[in-house]
Amino acid sequence: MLETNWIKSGKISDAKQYSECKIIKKFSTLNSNLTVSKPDRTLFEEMAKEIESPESFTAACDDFSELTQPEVALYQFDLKNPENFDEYGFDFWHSLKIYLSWAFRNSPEMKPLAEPFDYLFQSANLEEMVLFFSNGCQSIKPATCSEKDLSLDNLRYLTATTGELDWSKLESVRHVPDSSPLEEFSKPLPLLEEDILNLGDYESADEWVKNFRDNFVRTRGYNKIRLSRAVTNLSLITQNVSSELVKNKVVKDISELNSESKQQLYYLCSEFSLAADKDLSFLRKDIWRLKDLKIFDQVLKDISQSNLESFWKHFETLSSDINSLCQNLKQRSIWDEDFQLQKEGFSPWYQELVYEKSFNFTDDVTISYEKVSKPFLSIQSGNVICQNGIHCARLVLDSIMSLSSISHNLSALVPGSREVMSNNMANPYSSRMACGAYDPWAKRNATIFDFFQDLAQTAVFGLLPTPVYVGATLDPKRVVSFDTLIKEGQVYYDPNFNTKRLKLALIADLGPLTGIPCSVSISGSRLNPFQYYMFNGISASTCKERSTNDVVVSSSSEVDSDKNYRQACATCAINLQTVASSASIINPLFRVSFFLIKGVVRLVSNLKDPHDLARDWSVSPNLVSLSYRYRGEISKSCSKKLLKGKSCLEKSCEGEILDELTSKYFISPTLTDFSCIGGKGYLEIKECDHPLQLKFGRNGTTISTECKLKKRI
Amino acid sequence: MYSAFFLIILFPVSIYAQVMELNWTPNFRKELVVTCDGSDLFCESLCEATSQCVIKEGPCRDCIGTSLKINHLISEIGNTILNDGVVANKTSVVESLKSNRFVTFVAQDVYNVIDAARSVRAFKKFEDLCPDESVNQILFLSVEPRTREIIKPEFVYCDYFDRTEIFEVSSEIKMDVQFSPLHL
Repeated sequence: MLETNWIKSGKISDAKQYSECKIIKKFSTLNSNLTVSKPDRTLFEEMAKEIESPESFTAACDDFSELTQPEVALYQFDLKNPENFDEYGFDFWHSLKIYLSWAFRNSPEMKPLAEPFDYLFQSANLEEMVLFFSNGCQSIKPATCSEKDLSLDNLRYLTATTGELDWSKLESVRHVPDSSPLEEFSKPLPLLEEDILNLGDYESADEWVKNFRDNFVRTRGYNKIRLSRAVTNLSLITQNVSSELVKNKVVKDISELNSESKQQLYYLCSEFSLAADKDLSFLRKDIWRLKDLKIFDQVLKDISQSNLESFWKHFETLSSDINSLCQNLKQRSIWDEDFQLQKEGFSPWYQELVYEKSFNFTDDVTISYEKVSKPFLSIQSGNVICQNGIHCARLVLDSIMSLSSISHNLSALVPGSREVMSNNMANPYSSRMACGAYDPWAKRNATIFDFFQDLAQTAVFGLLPTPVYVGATLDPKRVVSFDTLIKEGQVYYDPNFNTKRLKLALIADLGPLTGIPCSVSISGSRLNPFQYYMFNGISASTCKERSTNDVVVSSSSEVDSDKNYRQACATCAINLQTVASSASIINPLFRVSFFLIKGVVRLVSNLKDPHDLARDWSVSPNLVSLSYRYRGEISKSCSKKLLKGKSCLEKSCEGEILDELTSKYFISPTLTDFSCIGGKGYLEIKECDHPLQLKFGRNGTTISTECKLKKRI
Repeated sequence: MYSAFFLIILFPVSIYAQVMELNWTPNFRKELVVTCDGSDLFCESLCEATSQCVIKEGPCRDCIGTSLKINHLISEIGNTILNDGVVANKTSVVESLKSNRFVTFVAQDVYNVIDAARSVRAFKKFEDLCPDESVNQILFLSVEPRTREIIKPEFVYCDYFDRTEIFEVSSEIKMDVQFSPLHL
């Protein structure tokens, strides 16, 4: 079926005629990245040596004795001379994946292969166990600018050695990841010689796969448990207690505060303020994205009778109620001077975001609570869901935060489709190109184009107060690519700007400049960071402890607050919306010059870029091998010829004879002294102490030697 | 319709007179062995034998693995997946077994790759499925006949020291809410 679908001409009938399957034992230069930015003689020599000894690097596909790790294996499929493969290559791999799913469970050939486990194999979740990826620059599937593909491609980070992997920096396990997988584009592109899949860290390919698989399974398992727990909690809470009832219970809890519940109330107000405050939360935009996401539909059907809409309605009302409730509290009477905040009681996501707590798989992901004699919500069998209203509300927020973070990597971590996974993780360029964020072939032109674009922006945005200012400045081409994405209907991000990054960029770029409204205010209380005063783009919060990041302000004439607290620890924060518009209102001239400077800087730096100008070499491994065999080394001049796709052997009669001999036998010629005209001569090779005596005639070349020459198959 | 009515009359009692066990064949296939004491027609209805029926269990799609569905299912056994307290109708049990539209899960199962082998947690979860102290528990889940995908948990078999029972698994979880707005 596969053959029929793939080879429409019907000329090829035996799969072995056009494909080869190998077990990869050890990575060679042929299936890894370049170790230098431009292939040189050292690389070619290494390549040639590896071609000479294939048994060290590969084994036959059915040679299971070569597998060192029982649970993993890495196979390489080579397609021989596929004509016009570019026309149907993606279809081929797609068909192969579908066929594999069917054949694994149903084909009669599987039974003898799997016996005595053939029955059990039918229950295996194959689609989660196999991953196809291209080990070169060509993609195994069309690169699309979709969240699904981007998160799949980002699996490359899991190839890092477990001991060296910084889980805290891994978006797929963070409680509050960056706002989208597109954030990836803000990272610099890896250099050509960078071993992005960390292939060089392992002695054997099996060890590499095992490490990747362990990291992947661990990450996936962690997220599935998180998702399962969030959905269960949200289902039980939303089905049994309305948001109004939860709010009323919180009101009741507040009327009965003790020292423990004061802590809990503090957590509640802080967490809801940070996540959902309409004016101040920079997370809100990302979390609110959830309500329009369709990717959870199938997932929720599998594990719950509820849907995201019902979860969302409950959360939206509850968050508004809780924030309003917190803002109207008599805070100083609740959290008085004797109150000592215990930070460890905050939700894991809050601790990660605010206190930069690093991630650890062994950390408890449940939220703290105050145990009461009559729990607010419990299963009749005895399992308690919420101890009180505060616990219930925090649980709803925590679960929504889990859904929000998982949504960024859902396709990679919780695959919903019945298709074997595949990605382009070896190629960091494909997704960027698909998203219009990188175009290596037009780099030079784009550099000039960008400069004009910067000039245009200078003109346009110098006059118009608009938040677009941000996106255009921070991420070149981002505005265009987002627009394209939205038109494609692939990604549902707001095209305006990414607040979190903007905040950092504004501080970095504009902070030192005068005229920028760096916002400062002082909270009425030293103790609660959720109480903010807002005015003209200026906001701030106080905190009980002074951290190194805080800016201490002495006073602000615009702030009408308790004088006793003016010297309190204050955080300088920027109200982004207001800053964007006030920048245009306050000082339009500044904005014009800002864009102009940016544009010139970008033009100069782009033209100087040594790594980002695309180059293309086409080198034949056979020619590399032959040249090395003939010369015993690859010279500089030979290296240049190979880079042009040429052979280092001269096209003489002698060259052809050497070509023939080295193709027939595993020999490495070191010295030759023969001529076709004389009809005889000798050839010295590394593999034999004595020279080979050669004779040429009409019947071809005959060799006389005492050494046993190893024939090539 | 007539036959259904007839069977309901045959199995009016709540206490089951069968013992169920899961076996593995030499070629690693699951078998459900039902042994009847002859006090009712359970085995006869199931396989036309009086004392014992052996039912070969079909595959369970994606059950060996960590799909979200399996992950969730195993996590929720004993938590939100609980017996209803309602003894299952024998006709429904026979029908499910006879049509082979079921798969079974036990505490130590090849389908459970979530809990560590022989973990106390896994045993505890399954013990929680039965109302009294039991020595063996089997969770029956309905499957889609063509694809063999799990649909939902249906019954739980509880083997006590002196008797056996099969309960329905609740599709609706019974909750306690300890608060009324009137308390304000």
